[in-house]
Amino acid sequence: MREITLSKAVNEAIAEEMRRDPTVFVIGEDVAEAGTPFKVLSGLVEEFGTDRIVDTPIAEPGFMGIAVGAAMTGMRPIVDLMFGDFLFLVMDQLCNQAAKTHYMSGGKLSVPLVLRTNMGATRRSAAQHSQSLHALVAHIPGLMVAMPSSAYEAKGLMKTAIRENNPVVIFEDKLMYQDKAPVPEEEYLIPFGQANVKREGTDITLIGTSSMVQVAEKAAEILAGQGISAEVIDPRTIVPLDEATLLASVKKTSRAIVIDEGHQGYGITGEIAARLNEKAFYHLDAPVCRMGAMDVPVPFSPALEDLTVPTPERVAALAARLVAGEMLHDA
Amino acid sequence: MTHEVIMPALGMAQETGVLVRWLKEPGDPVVKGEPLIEVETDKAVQEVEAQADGFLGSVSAAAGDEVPVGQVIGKIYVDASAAASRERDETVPEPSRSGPEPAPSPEPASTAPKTEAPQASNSLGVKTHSGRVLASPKVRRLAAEEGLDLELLVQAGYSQPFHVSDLTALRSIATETAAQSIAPASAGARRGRLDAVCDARNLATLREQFSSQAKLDLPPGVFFARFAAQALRASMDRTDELVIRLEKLEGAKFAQPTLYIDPDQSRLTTDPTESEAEATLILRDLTDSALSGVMLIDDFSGPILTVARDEGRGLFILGLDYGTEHLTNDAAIAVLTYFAGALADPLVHLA
Amino acid sequence: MTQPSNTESYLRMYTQMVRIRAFEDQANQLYLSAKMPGLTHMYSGQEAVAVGICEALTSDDKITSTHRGHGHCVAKGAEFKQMFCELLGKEEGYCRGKGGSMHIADQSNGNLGANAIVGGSMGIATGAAMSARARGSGEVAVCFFGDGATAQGLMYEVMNMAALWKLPVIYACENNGYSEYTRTDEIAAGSIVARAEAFGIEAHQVDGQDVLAVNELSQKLIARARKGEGPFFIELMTYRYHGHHVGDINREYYRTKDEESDWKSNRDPITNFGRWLTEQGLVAPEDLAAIDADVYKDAEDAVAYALAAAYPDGSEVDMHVYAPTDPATLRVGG
Repeated sequence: MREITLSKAVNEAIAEEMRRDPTVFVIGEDVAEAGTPFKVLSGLVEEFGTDRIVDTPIAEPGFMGIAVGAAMTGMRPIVDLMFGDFLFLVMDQLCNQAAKTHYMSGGKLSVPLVLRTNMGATRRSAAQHSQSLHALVAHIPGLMVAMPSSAYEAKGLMKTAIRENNPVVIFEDKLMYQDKAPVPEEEYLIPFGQANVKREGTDITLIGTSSMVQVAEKAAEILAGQGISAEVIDPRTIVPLDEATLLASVKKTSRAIVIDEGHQGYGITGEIAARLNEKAFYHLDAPVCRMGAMDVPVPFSPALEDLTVPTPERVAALAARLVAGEMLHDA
Repeated sequence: MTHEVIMPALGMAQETGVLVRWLKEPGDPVVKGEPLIEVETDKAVQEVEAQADGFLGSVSAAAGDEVPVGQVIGKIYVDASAAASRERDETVPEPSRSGPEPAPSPEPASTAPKTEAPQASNSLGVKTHSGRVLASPKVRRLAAEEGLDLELLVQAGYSQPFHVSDLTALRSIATETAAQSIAPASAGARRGRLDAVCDARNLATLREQFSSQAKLDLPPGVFFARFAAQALRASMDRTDELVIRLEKLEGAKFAQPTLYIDPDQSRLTTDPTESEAEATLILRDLTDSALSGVMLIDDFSGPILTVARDEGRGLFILGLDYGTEHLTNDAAIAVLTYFAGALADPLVHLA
Repeated sequence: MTQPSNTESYLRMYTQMVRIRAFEDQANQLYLSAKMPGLTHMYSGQEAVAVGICEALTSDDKITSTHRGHGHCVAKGAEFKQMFCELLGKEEGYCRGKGGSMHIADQSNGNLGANAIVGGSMGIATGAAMSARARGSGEVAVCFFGDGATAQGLMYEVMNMAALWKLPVIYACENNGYSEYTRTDEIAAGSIVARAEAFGIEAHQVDGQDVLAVNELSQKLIARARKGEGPFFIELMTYRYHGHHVGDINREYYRTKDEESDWKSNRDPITNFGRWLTEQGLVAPEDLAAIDADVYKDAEDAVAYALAAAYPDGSEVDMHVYAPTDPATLRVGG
């Protein structure tokens, strides 16, 4: 099978859906000729023109609000938010307007839009261009949240996101744009709420999101060398979350670590760990552990920044301690 | 004759030392020149040898304690019994941690799955809360499903917390324990003996009434077990589970023993259990034999109650053998007195 | 336009204004008698704005509304029963009781909903206009907002884009003199219309108490917007009779009773329009009285209906969080 970059996969997904459905359009800063700073959208404006690949002023709340209005009236906008950090700018339009419209209207109005943005540290971009803020939106009922972990996932999830009748926030890891993965030529979609068991194992479940799936897979390799069999699961979408697959795995392995690049405090890792704890308690042979990013603003210095995110080595070390039955904290 | 173990001064300007761990436990024999403690000074850990032969008695410092140089941290006794009796010397503060002292692991934690053998420690050390067994939710559930008591692992010295990997060990300990439910009396224990007689006719009448009015044929052992349990509770304020093991001598042979669990809290018609729980008390029913009392060669350390019958005088002949580790003399007297009273007036005591 | 059709449309405007007033009188009573949960904001006094504009729109044209939105909803064609049911949280409400006073939406008449965030719907209205143009529907979107919302940054972001892209949107600023509990001149520097003009948007100021003036201007601007000459901005000078919300009773610290009574006595949009209709000989005073009586009767009946109506079943609490998507469309080739 051919291999393409995640960037190309996203581009293909959007182009395919724009050809399929004339109501789909892209709106955001420097999406047309510039094709975004990461060049993810390059070439789209040549095919679809500036009416459907719409460059905006630097006005995130404004174009987010415009997208909400367009979505409520028959269009399917794809909002391009240049950096995930700018989510804070669009929170009212995303969380007070887009997320709640269907509910507040008793189901009469809906907001089928995609907000595509990015996440991920270690690009030396410092505190305002490195955040992973998916927990922020996953907290808001009415929003769906997808977290592709490879080019293959990025394409399939993007196509589903565009066809969904709900606001979907899709987070791409900006460090993965040039990562290649096998992506079939033929059309495919990846359904929401269906986790992907990337690797089967019996001793511990490693649940990773986005780029942390790769971290989990590398950790599983390290662990295999120590005779520990780790299962790796990519939830793909955190809203909706495929609890059934996660629970089945944890009931099998009795142990789990949830790995995510958002801040650990009050984050995705805690939410998933809590659900496993509630629903698989009597199957747990060790505490379900969280490994998120450190609860510090992302520092600039490479020497510091690399300390803030989970690494395969740290995941493997924690997993080994859990499998060994070590007590992590004082009783 | 005792020898004091003292926090040594190992450094030039050392005021205190950290006791890393005891290499012996209280009661262990100690040979002069053998490593006895590990002490940390100036970030270096050194072994300190015992200065005398004997047995380690009370210790007043626990692993991790910082102790001023020159302070007594334990005592070596020349004989074992003295060491044992001094283990709870009230003048010496208890070690802050109960159970076998956890030693800080000098190496990073093992990543291999836990083996069946008891592990000495883990990197944090385990502080058990009083009575609370630390175990994973899963091993708790599985142990409960199999009727296994995690406490057995604690008693066997396995380090906590327990995980599913400890189940294998727990199963084998439980099997051994069941086999040894008639446990050998410990060497130092002493046994006592009490005898009594009481009227047997009222119980006979009561059993006839059950038979004629309720079509219930209740063997005397049912009543013996119930009243024995009542006697233990009433005399000793026991609220835990009482297991009465009934051994009936039929002619010249003991029948298969039967177990009654909490018979004082069950219906009279409750059948004996099939389980192999450890007996609290053995009840020997001699009423269908010619014997009026037995004192067998026994491994059981708990109380043994015998009931024989004097047919001619309409009396039960009662005997209570007991070990001092289970019953004091006063408690034994109270138990047998209650039991005799209940047999003499069973209707009242069935209420 | 011929005289009879004008009269017909005048009477319709009159009736719609009376309907808004009657609705608000009833809502006020419901709230004060503790029969209505939550909080609500009265539109009374501003009727000519909503009616003058909405009478110039088709039912396909879109509006976005505000927390003070009952008037827009009525003017855009909503029914009393579903509105009162919504205000009372009943199952038959426009939003099945999930929105309430501040979130009434009536998509069948093009009302995209009231918004409890001041200025929150400016993007939505602009987006609806963008959508209308993309779909080639010929629709126009009107964004209702108050003078208070002119302080929100979102307004300037979307007006900038609407002007750049010549979107068919009309920004209707209802300047009722007060930004919640504060006089507008204390929160708005310079000129409000000049702000729109700075983006090259044609802006007008009009007497918001004069329904004919509002309607006439709206007709023109809406027609031009449909032809791609938008966007436009209108500042409608009006007055709210009640406090910021129904419970805002003691408001002398920000405005006098004399001022209120002056607007009510001399500048009431309904009274003045009714007087004009009779003075023009278009309608007899008793005909207007009959209209008033009918409308008030309708409102009372609707209130009684809504009070007796059922609450939604508890099972609806987690319905409508997510819109269903046809599984077929989520498949290859779908």
